[in-house]
Amino acid sequence: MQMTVDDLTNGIRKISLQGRMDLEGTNEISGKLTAHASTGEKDSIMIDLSLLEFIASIGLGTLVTNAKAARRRGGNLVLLNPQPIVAKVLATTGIDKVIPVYDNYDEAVTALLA
Amino acid sequence: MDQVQYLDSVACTQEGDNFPRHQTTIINRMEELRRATQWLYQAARQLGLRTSEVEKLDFCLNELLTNIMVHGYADLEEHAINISLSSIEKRTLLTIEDDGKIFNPVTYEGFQMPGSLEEATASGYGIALVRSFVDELSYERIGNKNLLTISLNHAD
Repeated sequence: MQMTVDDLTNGIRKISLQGRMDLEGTNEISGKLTAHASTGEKDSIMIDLSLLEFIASIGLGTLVTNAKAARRRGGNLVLLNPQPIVAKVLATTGIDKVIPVYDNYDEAVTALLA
Repeated sequence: MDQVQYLDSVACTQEGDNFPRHQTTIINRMEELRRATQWLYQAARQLGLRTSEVEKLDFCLNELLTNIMVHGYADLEEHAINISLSSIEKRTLLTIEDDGKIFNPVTYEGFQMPGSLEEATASGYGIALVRSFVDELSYERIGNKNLLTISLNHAD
């Protein structure tokens, strides 16, 4: 599983996840994800899911944990462009109702900067 | 228990059964999850399953195996987990057999849709997701083994 981090000029930190966020994949990136998403260095976090092929419940839990940590620090975390199978997992669990999900980059940026 | 012997993916037909069945055995180690996934895609391709169906099976197999590996055993020994995939008439059947603790996901009630981010938990989603992906989920305890069967109806 791969993770890349881009600090955009508008102040948003964009974290892109690629691969399978199963038990093994989540273990590979969860520490780094928390370090970049939840430590308060940046308030506005966008997690790009467009290259995430698979998410298991353990990966879902990691997203929830980081979104809650960002919120506790007064920040915000949104999800961008999940593939259909990932979107189905988010919708079935109701996570898409508590962590904002956008299919459009500009809308995600607008929401984070509002 | 002694070292588990692997049975790699094979297509076979059981007695009195005219439908091809692919089987494999993994052990209860995290690194085996990816091997199980590779086996699933290989077996599903040979059975001619649709991508949408394979994605659901992939998700269910991953969740259920993770659950068995994380919660199923009180010891640190190696345990065999038997998996089979078959396509029977208009259904695909995925079975998982393990010798872990008794766990019936059919009757398990451990999930509530979160009303807010504060209410959302970091765990507890797996079984609810599996139920949402399958058309039928059945469970039997046979001797000291759990036998789970997932059924997906073929899309017309």
